[in-house]
Amino acid sequence: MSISLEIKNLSKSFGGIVAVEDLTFNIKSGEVMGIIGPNGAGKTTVFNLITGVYQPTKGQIIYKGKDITGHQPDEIVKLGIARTFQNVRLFKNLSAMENVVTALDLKNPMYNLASTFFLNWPFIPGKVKRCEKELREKALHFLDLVGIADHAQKQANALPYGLQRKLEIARALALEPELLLLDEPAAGMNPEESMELSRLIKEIQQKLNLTVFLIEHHMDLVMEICDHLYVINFGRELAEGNPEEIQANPAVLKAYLGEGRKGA
Amino acid sequence: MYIQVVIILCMINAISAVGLAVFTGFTGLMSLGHAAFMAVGAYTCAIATKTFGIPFIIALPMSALMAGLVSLIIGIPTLRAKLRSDYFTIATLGFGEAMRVILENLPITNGARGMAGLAHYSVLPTVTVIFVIVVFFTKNFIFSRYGRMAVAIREDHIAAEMAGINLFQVRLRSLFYSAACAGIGGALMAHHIRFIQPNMFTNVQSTLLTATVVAGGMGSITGPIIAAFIFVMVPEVLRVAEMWRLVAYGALLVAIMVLRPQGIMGYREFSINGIIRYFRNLGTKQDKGGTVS
Ligand SMILES: Nc1ncnc2c1ncn2[C@@H]1O[C@H](COP(=O)(O)OP(=O)(O)OP(=O)(O)O)[C@@H](O)[C@H]1O
Ligand SMILES: [Mg+2]
Repeated sequence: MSISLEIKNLSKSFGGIVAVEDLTFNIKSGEVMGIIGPNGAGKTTVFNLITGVYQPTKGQIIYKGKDITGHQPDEIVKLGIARTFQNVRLFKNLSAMENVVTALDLKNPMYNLASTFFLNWPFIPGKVKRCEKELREKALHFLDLVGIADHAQKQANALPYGLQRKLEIARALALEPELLLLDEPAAGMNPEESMELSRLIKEIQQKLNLTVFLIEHHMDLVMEICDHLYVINFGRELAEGNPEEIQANPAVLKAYLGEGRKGA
Repeated sequence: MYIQVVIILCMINAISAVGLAVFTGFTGLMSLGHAAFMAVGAYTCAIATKTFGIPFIIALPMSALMAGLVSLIIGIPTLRAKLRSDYFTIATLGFGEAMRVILENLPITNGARGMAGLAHYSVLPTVTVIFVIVVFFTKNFIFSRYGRMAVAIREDHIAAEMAGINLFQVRLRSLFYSAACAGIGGALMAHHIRFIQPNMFTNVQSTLLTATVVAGGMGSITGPIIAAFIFVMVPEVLRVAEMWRLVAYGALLVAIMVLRPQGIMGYREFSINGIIRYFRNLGTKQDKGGTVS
């Protein structure tokens, strides 16, 4: 298996706070990799560094052999990395369909500025109308993939929370990525819903031949679908291995029990 | 004829407002310097027709282009730096003032005295045709993949970037378009009043234009058009003395913001189907005894 993403000595501080320190790991193409750790461990920061939302203080991010450290988010998306957000970020006032259509534009730029201005007349079918219709059909396909095609015309923020999360996944898939980053896709779901979601993620991953990198607190979901796990605590690497190894790792158990004590 | 003059003024203001609506209403950035682009358009057209004898039909697109190009001077550094939107607004404020000072000191613009004796090209048929063309182009621009990218940025700029949208490019494109429209508005104004002076294009003018867009409703193009018409007509109809004009605008703005905080047509468009739907809903809501919100 070839390597999709290489993280080398990645560090990030915000003023005095060190959010991520000296992380090094690889994600292989076609695998589902999970990153776990207590609250505030730095997981979301790792996603923000990979996707160019933040610039690392130190270290390198290499995607398919290309150094993408310090690139802008839109450039990184173009190379084939898409993500969802921990606090769902949809285009709230747009319909579910429009949310996906917006993302489709990246790989399907159907017409140019000149056609926009001159080839869209009232009552006359033209290039722009034809392309827009085609995009909507494509969008429906992605909504169907996550099982929310019935809600295509609903406004994004009128959808129930769980469906908003699925819509965000559909929008990310519409970017036709090779590497998909999911930040707590099952947050706020009950155990049943989260198991259903893990089946969906696995199914999509196999259908679209994706590499998946996910953050999740639901351990049953993590153990179910991850091929490989990376554990961090206070921004530092704690352990790495397959789910069985991680479950048996004393340092990991201690970190999670420690967190439990703090919360009590 | 008096009524013609009022309608011409309405349409000229609506042209500038509709352009700014693309920028402010759809990209979510405020400008307090758009009078500068009107000034650039006005002077370009005046100099082209009067000084160089270029036909109006060529001078007008030249004005749009020139205003668009000037917008890049302010747009490229500020939008590339991803300035926070309030900083951007302040930058446009300074830019508007700077532009006026430049116009007051250039030989070709005849300085503070301005240019008089411009030809009377902005007659009702001409202005109407140009108004229709601008609205048509704007509608096409907004309801296209380009408009969609702008809306995505307004909705959530981080999510938009993660959908592969280049913030800088999209914002700059909208700024260019809005400046070009303001340029056309300025050019038509020059050949309507037939006299231009740098102090016709002040911050007050810029603020009024932005107020028109906000009052008309963010994310709408018909809203700002309606607002532009109201803002020209109401003071005319009431025959408010020049001195009270700004007070009238203020009162009008407050009234709109109180009665319709989302603007006249916030996030919606005025259409015949919309009206039919509105009355139908009104009926059903009354049947249920519910309130119309
Ligand atoms: N923009 C920022 N400015 C300052 N500090 C930040 C910023 N983003 C994250 N941090 C800090 O970095 C640390 C790691 O945060 P991060 O969001 O990556 O944690 P996490 O592992 O995703 O936690 P959770 O499980 O709660 O989502 C925290 O201490 C947080 O306060
Ligand atoms: Mg997080």
